[in-house]
Amino acid sequence: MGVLSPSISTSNLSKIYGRFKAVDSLTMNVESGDIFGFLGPNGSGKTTTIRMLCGLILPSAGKAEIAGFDIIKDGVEIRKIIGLFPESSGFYNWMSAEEYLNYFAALYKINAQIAKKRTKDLLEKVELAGKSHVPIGYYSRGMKQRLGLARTLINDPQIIFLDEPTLGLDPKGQQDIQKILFDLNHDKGITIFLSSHALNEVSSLCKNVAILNRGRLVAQGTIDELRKRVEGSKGLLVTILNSSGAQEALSHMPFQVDVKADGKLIHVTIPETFESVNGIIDRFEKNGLQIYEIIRQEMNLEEIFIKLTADTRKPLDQGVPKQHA
Amino acid sequence: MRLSVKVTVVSLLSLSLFSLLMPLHSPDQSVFGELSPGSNPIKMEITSSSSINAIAGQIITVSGTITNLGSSPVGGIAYISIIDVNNKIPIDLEDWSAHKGIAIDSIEPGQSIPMEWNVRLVKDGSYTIVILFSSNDGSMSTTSSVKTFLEVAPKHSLNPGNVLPVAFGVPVLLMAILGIINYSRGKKMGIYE
Amino acid sequence: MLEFFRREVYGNFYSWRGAAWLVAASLIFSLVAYLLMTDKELSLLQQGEMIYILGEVIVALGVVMSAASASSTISGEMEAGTMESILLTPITHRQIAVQKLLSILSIWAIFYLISVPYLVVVSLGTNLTLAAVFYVGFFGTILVTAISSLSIAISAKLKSSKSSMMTALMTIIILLAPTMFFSTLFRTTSFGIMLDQINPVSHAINSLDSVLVDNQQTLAEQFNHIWPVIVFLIICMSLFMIYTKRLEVQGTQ
Repeated sequence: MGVLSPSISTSNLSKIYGRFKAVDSLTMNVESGDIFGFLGPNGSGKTTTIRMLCGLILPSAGKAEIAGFDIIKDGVEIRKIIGLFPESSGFYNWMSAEEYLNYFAALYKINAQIAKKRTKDLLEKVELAGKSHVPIGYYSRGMKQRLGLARTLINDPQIIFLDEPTLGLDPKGQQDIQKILFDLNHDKGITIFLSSHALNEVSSLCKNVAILNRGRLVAQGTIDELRKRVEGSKGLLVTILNSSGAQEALSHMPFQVDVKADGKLIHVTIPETFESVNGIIDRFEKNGLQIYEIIRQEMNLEEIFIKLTADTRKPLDQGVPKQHA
Repeated sequence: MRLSVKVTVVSLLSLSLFSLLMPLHSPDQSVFGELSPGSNPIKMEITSSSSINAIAGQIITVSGTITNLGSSPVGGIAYISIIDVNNKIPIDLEDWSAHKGIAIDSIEPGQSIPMEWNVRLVKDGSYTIVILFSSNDGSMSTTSSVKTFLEVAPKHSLNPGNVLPVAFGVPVLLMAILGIINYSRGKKMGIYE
Repeated sequence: MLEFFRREVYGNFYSWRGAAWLVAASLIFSLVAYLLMTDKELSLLQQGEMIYILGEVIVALGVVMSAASASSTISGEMEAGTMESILLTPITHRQIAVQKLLSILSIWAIFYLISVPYLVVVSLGTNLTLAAVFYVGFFGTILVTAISSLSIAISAKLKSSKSSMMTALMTIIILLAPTMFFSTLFRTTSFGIMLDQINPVSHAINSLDSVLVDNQQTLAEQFNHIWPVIVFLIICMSLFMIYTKRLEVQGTQ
């Protein structure tokens, strides 16, 4: 298969169940080769969006394309180039892992020789090679998660959708999955569309994120862009030596400071909006305060997420987009 | 010889002759015997054995004759009746005999017609069999034959028609095949040591 | 591209799903055949009636088996979460449904093969063996195909194993009711006759009666019973084609 230009783009994509809008006019873009974080509270429409993009359910309105293929008209083509690791996946408990992967390889019409090698490689990658002949019914949850990831990769996809891939895994398991995803993206340029509540995982892996709330897109961009949008700087943390007179000098500063003495050091938090960094350094030196360290304190992704998904009480039925027949 | 003696001899001879000839000419008298006034001209008779022993499931044939002892033709239905001696009830012949009644359009005086009934012995027990005749016009009472005794022994067989090898063998063979398939697969997967 | 069908068949045996039906069926056939041949009263039936009773049991059990298996085949996979990964492969939804139908029919094929020795042994000594084997296979296959395709359509539409199994089994009970539950007297009323005329299962059972008890063995003699069963098959297959065109997992709400 030649390398396509994988990208995901949606335009007013919606899914409506009766009077309930699970996804409301979602418009977003994911660039090729990106690790894209897709965030939102429970029930915000993330899984529904992923299912629409993968062709598992039909959208009620709007359009979407994956690598230039329309999700409604070109479903078969899309399925050849994507993989989905759903939040909860069932397995055939009577099959062994090897049989399971070979079975899916056959469904993807992969040549038997290639399938055999690929199965072996994948089982090694997810550390199931030693248990490949045991029935899946005997596997732990973590082992099933890893097998699910292996199945997602069996057709050598260009785009992978993952919905809570590390849910229920121990820290080592989570780390292993993250490493696999990183390597896939780094080595093969695979586009990764990651939906997860593990925000530290998202912030460590993803360059771009989108945040969904109550079916609507509330923010999309890099984490820095989102931080700026919510004014997510918490100020500067200046660490100075706890010399005599230092606390006295600090008390005469023209701005509110938050001081914590810690033995030989004093930690001072200053709102950045007050003065520039250079201005603060000059002021401290003029007052005889010896600066040990300056760190810009920023909101982490979790704090950004909470701020953006606070209940805005927007009305739910602001114009229904044109619906498919 | 005197006239009186001659008359007496002739009278006596006439009387004898008359008594001899009278049954031929009387319209109300049977050829085969004397019938008392109002008696039935039809005679029913079972000609097969008067005592039958059989096994349940067998089919027996009850043969009989119907004879018209009267001087005019008769039409009606001849039928078979079986009584369960132990339970003291006539049995429902639906499963025993397909043709319980035989219609007779007309039987001429002096004529004798043979009849047969095939009876399937559905249930074991002790029975009596009679054959009867009922006329179409109801001018005479129903005529019955003398009864025949029937003893039906129960049918015992543990393996009729060789059903046992199939009834036992098929499930056993099937379970064995399925068991072998699953056991060999389980061994290959390391479930069974 | 029968990989899906192959997996379905293996799954039927390795997970004991299909195997359980076959074992249960063989035990029921053994019981019925043995009773027919040895019971004090049953054994005195005409042999044609015995074969008819056995044939009726085979067809009815086959129909119940197909309804029970087929009605949960799609909804069960959706509930177990295995359908999602299948729907992501290039195999079309119609192919999934067709191959599921074929797997149910493969169970019926083995079911029917198991029943043949019983039909043969009960019909020994008569000229009804071939007719019994042929007509039980003929009507059984058509009815099982029809009921299976209808049940799969129900399963695809309702997406809930419980609901689809209840619906399918209720349908079977309604179809089997005239021959199994209604009295002879009711069936001779004009309403009973009308029900018999429109009921494909009644036609199949009555045809078996006509072949095995009344010895009317030719296809021409059975034509009046055959065509309604085929019409029923066409209707069920049409519903199957409509409802399996697109299979959707339950959306999250």
